[in-house]
Amino acid sequence: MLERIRDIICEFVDVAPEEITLDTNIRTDLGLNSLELVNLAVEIEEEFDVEIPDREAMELQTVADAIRIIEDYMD
Amino acid sequence: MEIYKLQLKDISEREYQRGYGNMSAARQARCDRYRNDRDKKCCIAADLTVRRVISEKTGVPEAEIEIRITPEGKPYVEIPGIHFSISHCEDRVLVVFSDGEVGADIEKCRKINPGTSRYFCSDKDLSFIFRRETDRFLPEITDPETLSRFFEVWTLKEAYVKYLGTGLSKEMKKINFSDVPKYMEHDGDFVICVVGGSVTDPAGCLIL
Repeated sequence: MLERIRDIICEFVDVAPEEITLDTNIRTDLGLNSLELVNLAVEIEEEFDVEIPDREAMELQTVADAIRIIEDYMD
Repeated sequence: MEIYKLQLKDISEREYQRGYGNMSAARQARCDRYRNDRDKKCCIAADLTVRRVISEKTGVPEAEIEIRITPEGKPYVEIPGIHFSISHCEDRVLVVFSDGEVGADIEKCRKINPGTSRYFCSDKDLSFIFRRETDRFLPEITDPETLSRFFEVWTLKEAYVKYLGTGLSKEMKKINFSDVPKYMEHDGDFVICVVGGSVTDPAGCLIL
């Protein structure tokens, strides 16, 4: 799952995939702004066929958070 | 209200070094975390501008100005009558000063997943952006006018949230702007929006 999330994130930022780890903070390390964060959440929803509640999408911090949310909301 | 629009290329390496040196240890640490240089430079450019302008207004030396951050992430200084808001997108930095609470946002009109609008748009906003009654399916945004309207609504809401200082929330869908001054402009591919400012120096009023 980390690989797929890395691929999605790399569409938004100019960073090597291997630099993205579970602890990477999407905002403070990768510099995504609020809109890019929401866009990332939507891309994750489509890639993993999940629906992420608004509040959780807007409070995404780390890559590990994203994986936890996907696992929580996958059927 | 004063609006400062900067491009990273207009600032010299020497200025970046000076700006970094003036930052607090906490701001430097925040800047250091960014993986790419563009984000680091945006952070320094905004800090430089805040210090320079406040120093000109108050006479306080740039290096002595303490920029603090609220728990919700809004930067501020403890100087009466001085409020500011910072935004950046790609190589552009926006800093807006006012004598009242203010929020600002800059975004480049660029490819975006239309599903993003579901996170911050009311049905009325969706009708405004897509120019039709909305249903479950949102079409890919291909024409510049629709893209422009999308970013107008986003920047307005983001600026309003920054004006309030509350951080993003699900309430973005319900935001009512009727009682606050608003200003919006297009600068090439970029949309700039400011919400707030003082009553005696209204930021202007536009759209929606």
